[in-house]
Amino acid sequence: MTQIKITRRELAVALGASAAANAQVTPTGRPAEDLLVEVAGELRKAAARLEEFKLPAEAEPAFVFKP
Amino acid sequence: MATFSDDVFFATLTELNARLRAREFSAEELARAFCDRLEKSGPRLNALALSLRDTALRKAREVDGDIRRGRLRGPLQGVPCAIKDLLSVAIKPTTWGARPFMHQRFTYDATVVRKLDRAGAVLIGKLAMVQLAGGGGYRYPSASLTGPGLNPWDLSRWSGGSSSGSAAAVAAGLAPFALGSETSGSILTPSAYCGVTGLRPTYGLVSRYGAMALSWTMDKIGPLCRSAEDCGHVLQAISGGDSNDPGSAGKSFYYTPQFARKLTDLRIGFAPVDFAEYPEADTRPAFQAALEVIRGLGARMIETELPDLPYSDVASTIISAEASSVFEPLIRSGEVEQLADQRQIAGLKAGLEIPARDYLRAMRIRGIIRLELRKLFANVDVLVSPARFGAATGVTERLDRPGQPAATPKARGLRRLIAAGNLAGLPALSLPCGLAGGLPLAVQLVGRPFTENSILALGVEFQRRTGWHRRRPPVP
Repeated sequence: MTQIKITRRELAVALGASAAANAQVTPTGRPAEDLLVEVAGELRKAAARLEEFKLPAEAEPAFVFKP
Repeated sequence: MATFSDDVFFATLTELNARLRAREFSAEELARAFCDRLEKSGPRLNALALSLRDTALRKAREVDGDIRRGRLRGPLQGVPCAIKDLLSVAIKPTTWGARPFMHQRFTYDATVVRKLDRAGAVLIGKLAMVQLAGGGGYRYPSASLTGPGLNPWDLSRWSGGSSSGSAAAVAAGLAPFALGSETSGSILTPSAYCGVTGLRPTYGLVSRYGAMALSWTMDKIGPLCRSAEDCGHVLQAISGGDSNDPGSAGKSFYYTPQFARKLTDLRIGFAPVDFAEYPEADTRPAFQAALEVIRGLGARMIETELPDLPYSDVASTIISAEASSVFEPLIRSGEVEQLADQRQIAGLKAGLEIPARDYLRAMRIRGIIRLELRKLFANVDVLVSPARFGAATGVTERLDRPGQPAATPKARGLRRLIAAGNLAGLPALSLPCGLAGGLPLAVQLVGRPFTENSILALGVEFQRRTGWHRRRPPVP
């Protein structure tokens, strides 16, 4: 039988951190629709930046991907 | 009944295997001790998804019989281990860290589980993870069925994601080694934050059959261990071709440190800016000291930088599109709303709307990235850079607002190496390299495809000279 030594202070920290963290950190309280618009916007911005990349005609997608 | 000290709980798997063969203790006694410890301390770290005590003890008794009869199977025989809860174990719950899948069970073992079993390893539990391995993009460490992964070095810090439980369990001595998975940083980040040694294998080297898919073209499974040497042994056991995995490269890996290239023959690429400017100020001395150790190995050090390519945008477009396709039934059913992170729910929904044009463009640029990195590796054999530029973030901290250096350096360096390496399918090793504010830091070594032996040899020598991988956290 193994004994894991833990001081009362460590236990308090552990329980406190766990309880605080488990209390679900709700992101912003903003409506889900707003967040969806924001995230979709981020993806569109990423796509727009990729549009600026000059792609040679012969560049094929790395479909059957092999390193 | 044997009693076990911390020297056993923090021993490497080769040390444990040697003591098992010497009959200092039995595999059953060892498995029982690790199960006790995992069940007791795992929940404190939000690291435990499921204890497999009964099957572990049965397997351990079988191993004891084999050892008694002289049927020796290699360095993993009789050594306890645990796996990320995205790998299936027949009949047992496999939750993928997400509420909608908390009752999910498969009828078969993942290929890596089968391979560990064949090597004689004793599977003691399944470990917590960020839900759906982070698919959709999460905003807070609390994005998990088991709560945020807590870091054994400081419980107010995150253990990293998405292989949160795998890193925390190994760091806290709850399992000698664990398996995790990486799509873009999910082995390297928790390994770095928790001070364990993590190996991301070359894409296709380890079968993903029986693993949750997040991004078919980027997912990899790899070990988190106490040392680079242990990573080599575990990789040998779990690698190999598998017709059940369409991404399998059909290659095996043999850990052969005796045949590794001389370190003095290696060319190591690095960027001074990665050590002097990108890291948070209090971490720079440790990173610079690590670079000096690497310099002292006798290899040729070559200043380099990544080609100027849109790594992050390519990675996020590909992962978002593939993840949303994987989880389309979850999204359409509405059960996606049960996930614990609103940003992740929105990300999965938005990913469904990515046009084929954008996905194809990202995949075409990815082809160029692969070619450009191949050119880079014509001049160097290994790249070295900090695995993360800071220590573990706070457990309630928002993750999608990463800290930036006070003034962004002009030089690119190798700053985007995690995204670049994952897009090109390159192997990487995370090595603990110091502490800042009592928290672990790590450097990463990245090599050409299928050159795991080279980065492992470098890692073994680095660890022989530094000993950072032997440090233990103050808790539990």
